[in-house]
Amino acid sequence: MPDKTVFVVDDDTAVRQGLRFMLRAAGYGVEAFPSAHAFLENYDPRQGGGCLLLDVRMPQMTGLELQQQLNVRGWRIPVIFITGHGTVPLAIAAMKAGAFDFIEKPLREAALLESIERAQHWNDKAYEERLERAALESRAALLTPRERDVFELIATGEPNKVIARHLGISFRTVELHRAHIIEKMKARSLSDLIRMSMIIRNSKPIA
Amino acid sequence: MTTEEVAQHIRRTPEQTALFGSRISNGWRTMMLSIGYVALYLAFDRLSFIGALHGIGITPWSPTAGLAMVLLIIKGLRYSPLILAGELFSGGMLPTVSPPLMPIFLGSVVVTAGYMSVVTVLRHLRFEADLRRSSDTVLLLIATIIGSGLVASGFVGSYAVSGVVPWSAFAEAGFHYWIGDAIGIVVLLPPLLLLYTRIKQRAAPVQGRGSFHFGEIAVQAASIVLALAVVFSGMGGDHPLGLFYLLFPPLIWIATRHGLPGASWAVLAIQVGLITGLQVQGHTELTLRAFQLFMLALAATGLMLGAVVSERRRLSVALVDSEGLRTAILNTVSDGILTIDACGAIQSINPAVETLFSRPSHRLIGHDLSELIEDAPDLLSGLKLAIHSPASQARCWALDARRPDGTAFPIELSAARFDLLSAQHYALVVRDITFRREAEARDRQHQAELAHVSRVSLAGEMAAGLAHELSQPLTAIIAYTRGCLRLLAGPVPEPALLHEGMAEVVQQAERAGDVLDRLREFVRGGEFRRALIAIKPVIDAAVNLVHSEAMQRDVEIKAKIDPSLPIVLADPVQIEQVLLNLLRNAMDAMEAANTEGRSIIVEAWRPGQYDVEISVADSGPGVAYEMIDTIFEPFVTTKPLGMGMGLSISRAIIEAHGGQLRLARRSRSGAIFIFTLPTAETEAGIDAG
Repeated sequence: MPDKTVFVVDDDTAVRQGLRFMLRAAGYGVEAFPSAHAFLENYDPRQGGGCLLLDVRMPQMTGLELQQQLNVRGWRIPVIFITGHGTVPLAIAAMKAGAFDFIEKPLREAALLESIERAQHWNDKAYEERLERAALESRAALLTPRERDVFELIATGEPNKVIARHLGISFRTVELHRAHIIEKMKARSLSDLIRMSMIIRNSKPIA
Repeated sequence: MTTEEVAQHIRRTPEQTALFGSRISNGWRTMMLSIGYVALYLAFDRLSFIGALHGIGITPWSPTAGLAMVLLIIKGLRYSPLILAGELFSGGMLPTVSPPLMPIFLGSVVVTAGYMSVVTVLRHLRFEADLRRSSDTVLLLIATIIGSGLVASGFVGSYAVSGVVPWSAFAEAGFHYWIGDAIGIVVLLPPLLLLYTRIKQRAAPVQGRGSFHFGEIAVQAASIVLALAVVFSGMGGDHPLGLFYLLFPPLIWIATRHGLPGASWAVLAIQVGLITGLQVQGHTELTLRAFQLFMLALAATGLMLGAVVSERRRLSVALVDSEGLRTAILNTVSDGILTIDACGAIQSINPAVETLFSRPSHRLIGHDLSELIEDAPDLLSGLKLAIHSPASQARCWALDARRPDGTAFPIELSAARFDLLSAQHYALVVRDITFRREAEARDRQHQAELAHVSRVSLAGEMAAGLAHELSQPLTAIIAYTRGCLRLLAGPVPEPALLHEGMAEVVQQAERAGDVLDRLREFVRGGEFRRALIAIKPVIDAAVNLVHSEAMQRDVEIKAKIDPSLPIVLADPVQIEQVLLNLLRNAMDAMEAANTEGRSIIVEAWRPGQYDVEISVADSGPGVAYEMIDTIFEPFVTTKPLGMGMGLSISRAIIEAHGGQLRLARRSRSGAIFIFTLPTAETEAGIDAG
């Protein structure tokens, strides 16, 4: 049952192995990693399903940074943050970045299992939107300032010729920028890109 | 300088100021003095002009010479023109002859220059006009005899050159002039100097003078008159000087009774009596001069005896005074002062010793030092070891002393050796240092309590980090326990898995217990508990306590500890506290400055034989230049919520351990704080020394 795999990333060996022990006893397949890098190297996004229990504070790459990476790469795995020193600003930041849930240590088994169960079979519209928006924002953050200008004009529906005149650059350059933008945003088409820009724009007032 | 000398000095100073002041402000006084001197000079010259040799003022005695010397000694060389004037007047007004002006002038200059030289030489030899020391009198006599000899040959020589006196008579004339001047000075100068001193010091009683009874004075005066009468009675047979020695007993009597003042007045009286007697009887010039030669010997004897008597009397008074002062000091000081012989038997004590050891003096004198002081035998051998050092060099010991009831108290003892009648003795000064020791203990206690308070607050500041430190094992424990419960409830029992789970639970519970132990140890009571410890476990404990906080704040902490470090004598908790302060300061500084790549390196090494050095280096912004001087002061902080106590308490802790805490680097590549701790061997060395 591959869809029941729970991935655990925590630098504390005892916590990592304890979670593995408990979740296995509860009937889950568990894969545990001591660092964010180890997870990124070993996770196969194509297998799909499962969820990720992620420690917020870790040396080198933190849990939040790992989530950014997942967003950029477009790996859609629900992330449940676990932290020993949860603060409200940290929880808000994590949720905005697309976290599925945020649980404080020491963990309560019931709460954790419930959250894992929900994550395994999510059909939560709100979460999906949040995840989508977080992913798009993470990707948009990779755009250069010029690319962002071009992206905004594309979103208004202007043709490339108008955009080139407006920005005082050549038609070819605009086409080049557009190709880069589509690649970075992982858009399937121009209309997909426009949809993405609308999602990002709607989220602006929140930020 | 004795108290008396000090008093003399004080008395003398305003007088001297007045003397110099009068030169300018009181011209009238100078003029009166000048006229008075010249008048007196001429009067003396006239009176003493008896039996003049060759009629040129060579007389059997010259009181004028004494007068001139008095003026020069008291008023100074600037009055020498008056001497010259006196000589010129007297030379020009000789009653019998009128010699040419040339020798008069030349002679006067020679005489004036001669006496100026004598006074200059006297001053150079530190002659004091008050004749307090017998050496002053001796100096005066010698200078007078030599000086007047030179003046005499100069004076007679200048008349011989002018042809007034034939060269054949030079030796005879010079000899007579010499005796005349010498007797004039010896007879007149001492009483006038003493009179002057007495007038100047009239406010203070003159010490060293005997009792002053008019009856005695009258008998003594009568004895002089009687002796003179016998001398001139002719009972001595043919020789006119036959009975001269009769003048000695009264003079010696007076000198021994009244010292120099009595002797000098007696000499003057005898001289006046002799001259008067000789004048009345009409002796020959030869007899007159023979008398004067004898008189010179009599005067010198009397004056020297008087001077010695005065000086001895003064010294004995000074001795009594200093003895009184010594006794007063010994009775007043709160330190116990005692002398012991080489075997340790107590010979003398001051009253403080009785109080100090709660024993009456009869239970101290003659008793052994070891009855009072615990380590007295060691002390004695220590004293004997110090035998080759200079006798006056004092040594200091900290010892325990005993009271008769057996109670011990700490003392500080310093000792010096002295030799008395070729036997060794020691003078000991004993001070009760109970209060000082108590104060030191109180200071240490306060410091330890302050450190404790600051440690508790430090622990509070670290609560977030410690909570995380506890939540990790608790999370693991819950996870393993839940897992085990599920396994137990499951259809297939899996003992191996259960065992693994429970073993982990125990291990993690112990881990949590360790965290609590460390914290409890850290915030324990405020005593100062020094022990021989290795430095590595202390550093490890401190780094562990801040580990999770460092993680949260993205700080990497590395420890590089020399494995061969010696043990140190220290309170591990207080040292850990210092390390925690430094570590947390470093983290705060790097966080406040938003430093990239935050790291702290803790190093411990041994720079030399005596110290272990521990450094805490961060990669933060360093210490601002304007903070350097005040960073260790209390209530100085750069943190918005800081008390500013951490570094000040840390420095106090390190200094209480005999080490130093300093800022070793403050540059932009980060701050380095270094503290030193003396090694255990060093500490032992200090105690032994």
